[in-house]
Amino acid sequence: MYQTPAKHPLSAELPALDDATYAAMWALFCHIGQYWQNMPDPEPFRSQLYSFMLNRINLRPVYRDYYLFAAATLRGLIEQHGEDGAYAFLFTDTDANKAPPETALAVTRQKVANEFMALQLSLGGFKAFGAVNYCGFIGGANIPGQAAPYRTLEADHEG
Amino acid sequence: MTLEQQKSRLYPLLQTAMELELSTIPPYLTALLSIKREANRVAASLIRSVMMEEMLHMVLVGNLMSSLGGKICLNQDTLPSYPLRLEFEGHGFKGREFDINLEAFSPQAIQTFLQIELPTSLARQPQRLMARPKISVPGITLGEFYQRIIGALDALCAAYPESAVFNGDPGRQISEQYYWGGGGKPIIITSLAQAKAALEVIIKQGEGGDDSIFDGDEHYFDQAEEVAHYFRFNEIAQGRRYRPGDKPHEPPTGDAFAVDYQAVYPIKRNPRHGDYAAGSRLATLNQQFNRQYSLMLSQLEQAFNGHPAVLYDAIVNGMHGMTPIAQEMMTLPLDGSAGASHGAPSFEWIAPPYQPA
Amino acid sequence: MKVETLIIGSGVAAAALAQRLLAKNPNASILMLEAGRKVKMQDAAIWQDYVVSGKLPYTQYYDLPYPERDQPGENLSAGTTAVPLDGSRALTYGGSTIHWGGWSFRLKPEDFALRTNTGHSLDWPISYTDLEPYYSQAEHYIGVSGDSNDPTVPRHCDYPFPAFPYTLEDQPAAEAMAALGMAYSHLPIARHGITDTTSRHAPCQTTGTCKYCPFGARYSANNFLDDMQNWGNFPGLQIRLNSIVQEISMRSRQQAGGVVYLDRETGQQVMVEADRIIVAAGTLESTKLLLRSRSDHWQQGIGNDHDLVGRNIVTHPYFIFSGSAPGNPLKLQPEMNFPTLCSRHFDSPAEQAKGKFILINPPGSPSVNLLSKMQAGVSRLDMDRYVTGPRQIQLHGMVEIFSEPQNRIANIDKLNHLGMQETLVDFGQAAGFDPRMQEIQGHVQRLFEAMGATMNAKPTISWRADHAACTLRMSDDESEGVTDRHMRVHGVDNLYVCSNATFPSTGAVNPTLTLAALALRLGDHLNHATGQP
Repeated sequence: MYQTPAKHPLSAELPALDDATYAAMWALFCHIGQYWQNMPDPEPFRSQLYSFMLNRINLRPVYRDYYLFAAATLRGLIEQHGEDGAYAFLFTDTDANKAPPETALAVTRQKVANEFMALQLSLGGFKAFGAVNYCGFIGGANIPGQAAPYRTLEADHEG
Repeated sequence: MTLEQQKSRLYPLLQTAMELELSTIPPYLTALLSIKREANRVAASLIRSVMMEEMLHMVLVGNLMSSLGGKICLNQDTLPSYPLRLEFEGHGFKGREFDINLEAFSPQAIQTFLQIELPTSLARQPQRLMARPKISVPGITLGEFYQRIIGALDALCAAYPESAVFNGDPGRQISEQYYWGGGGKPIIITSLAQAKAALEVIIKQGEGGDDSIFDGDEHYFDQAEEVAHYFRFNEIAQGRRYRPGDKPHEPPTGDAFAVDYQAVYPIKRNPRHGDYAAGSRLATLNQQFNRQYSLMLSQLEQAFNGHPAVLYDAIVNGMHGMTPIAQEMMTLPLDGSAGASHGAPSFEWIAPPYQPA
Repeated sequence: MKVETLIIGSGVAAAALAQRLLAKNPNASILMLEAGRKVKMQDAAIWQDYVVSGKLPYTQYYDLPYPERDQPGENLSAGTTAVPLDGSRALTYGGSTIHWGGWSFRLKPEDFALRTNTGHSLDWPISYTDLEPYYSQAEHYIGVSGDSNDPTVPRHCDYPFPAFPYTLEDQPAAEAMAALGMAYSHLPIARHGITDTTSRHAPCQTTGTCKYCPFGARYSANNFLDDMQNWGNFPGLQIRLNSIVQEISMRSRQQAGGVVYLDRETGQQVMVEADRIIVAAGTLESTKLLLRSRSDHWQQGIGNDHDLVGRNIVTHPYFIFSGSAPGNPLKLQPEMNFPTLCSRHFDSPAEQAKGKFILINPPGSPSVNLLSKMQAGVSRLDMDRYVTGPRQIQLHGMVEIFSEPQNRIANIDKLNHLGMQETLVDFGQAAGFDPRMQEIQGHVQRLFEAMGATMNAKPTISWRADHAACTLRMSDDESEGVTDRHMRVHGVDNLYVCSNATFPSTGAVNPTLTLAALALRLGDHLNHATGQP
């Protein structure tokens, strides 16, 4: 309770992210689930995406710029490719994934989309691939007398 | 009247209960953080332990609402704002009322906390002028208010099968893995017995058992007997711990401990955002705090209304994120004048940029 | 300034010892000097940074690697086998429990009589029975989840929390071990569980980011020290950071008087007098401190008349065997971040002479990395094929090696990037090590075959110094050990060492639980010695 926060000294001085930028980032998050068909109902995670973005900005203020930048880049991509095409392009273009990011598209892919993928998987997107728990997902406690929060060895293997 | 109609008469009571429990937390937290870190460790521990248990009470009320099929509302309209007038209804006479404030640890603050947790057996009839109440409590004390809810549940279950009364999906309730750090654990409610057990925890932790200073939760929680909240605050007021055998109407007879009301930041009482100069560090910090606080409340609402897992985000981000901001504010004077008050969070609403699910 | 008890270091040994002293006397005068700074733990933003990027906030407090051609580095490796220091310890408030995995094994009874049983090294001056009650207390103090019915070691008291069930990912290894008649058991792990008691420590929520647990469910000394300072009402307890102890000063040959430390914030040298001093600074720093505390009374360093200080260093070689499995029909993936299954089958009296070893089914096996595929734009269909396709699997373990007097550490007269003296490590593996690893490989090979996997590479062996020990080893005989059976430095009445450095041997298991047990035992010993009420 008495610790100092891990905040970048600039972060408190920045203006808050505007609703339209948040909405664009939310759309990106939802499209990850649509493209990989691994999150049919992303609604419950709205507040957690916002919380994640606030944390990124607090730790590294440049993320505020990344999110603004990404929103603008996505507007352009959607104009060019239509909605679904825009996200497919963002998620699969190989040049966009070459580090360090030197184009608008690369920044959007690496600093925003790729991070949202990490978040999405850890919030529950991983479940589509067969597991019950995942490193980064808060699976819950091992409550005595209840099923473990992960897939377990069959009982006849015990001891 | 159908079962649903009868249940829906209970929902406002549970919503009031939630607002009451929530309303105690900013004042307890503010008083706790106003204590300078090197002083008053016993008093600080006592306040913190009460505050942690109020959070448990919120969870128990949330689970009860969910078990009946109702919804909790935590937003701009139901947010407590300070000074908060609590009005307790008397039986055919003018009831109790007093203000709860966001203020520094002080004898007056402790007296207010004692009033909040006052056991029914110790309630008297103070006379005060009525002003427009913010939270109106049907009952002379919190304890009596919760007894009325128990009574209403008894009546419902006398008329209808329990499974129809408690027909909410238990998977939507907050389970024991979400709560630690306080005396007690969440109860998943699917029956009248469990509902009453949950409400008894709240009553007993607040005011103790019949003619007892102890909170009586040792039957379901394996720890040394703890005194109820009212009596913990009385320990601070008296500067002395209770001992087993001490009685509610008598002062504590255990070990004395030091209480230093000077080792406290001189924070402004009931601060509002407008108290902080535009562009000042305090204004920026207060904005940050309120943004986190509002997000946390919104996530609590989401958690209580069927998405318990969001509570982890609220826990990991909430307390750890907010208290350092509050602490910094309390070290900063409002202005350069001699004897200026220091800042403190105003606990006001800043709408998150989404419609909660 | 003068204090009653001065503790050098702020890791698990210091924290456990301080807690035991304060339990007896909450007003005890205790000063803890920590060379390092504080790291923000349980911070939501840092945690999410870790989830997204793998970055940790405390790696800046690791040693740098040894000097390379193009990299200045720090420290020096002088022997025939390099023992890396970088990543082996965290020089910060809370010490190395800030990054440890939490594996909390007890030594076995035979480990305390290594020389009697095999002729190697030295016996402990105490027995398993002597330490057993303290093992229980340490398991409760740290908060260990384990199987109380596990017969591997005798116990009088249950673990505070039940064991975590084996994962589905343990199944191939479990079946193979069962088929080969190798016993396996639940790995005892320092993770808080759910109980019916108030605890400031959250239960493990199986988040899988153990290196930076957002809940503090994995024991970490910094959290316990914070608790003691913030909520503990101990008016005589003081913890100073950025305080690098330069040397221990002696009042006479038999009496330590205090220390001189460098305050990194002010650059000033500060003297503190103390009635008694406990060095709890980890194996390397505790040893180096004694070595460089030279005076007319102790010309080779305190406690070093027999040229033992710094010698006999051992660590645990940690081995990783990799293999490939043709497919993954059960879609096994890393669901946890700590191991649940281990085998102490070869951690036995029969194996003691050659070097006992344990086997671990690591949580990252089989290796499946969904995120890297998604970030590379791989389609859902191809990701599904990837998950069930050919897999890399691993088995890990560690093996006991034996003290040799020529293996030693010393100070280097140069400061590292944290302002502390650098370390010289002079170590060479024994001739018997390679044949032993060949034998181990044979066992693991059979396991891989039973798992339907093919071993496809030589094992990786890490000699990293995480479990460095024995450089200030205990013995009743001062010509064989630097400390006595109560970890008091021979020849000095009021100087103690609370560190893995005092172990005469390490067995095949991680040292931390044993260290915590010894710290609590030392606390009791000091409490009785002062005759305090």
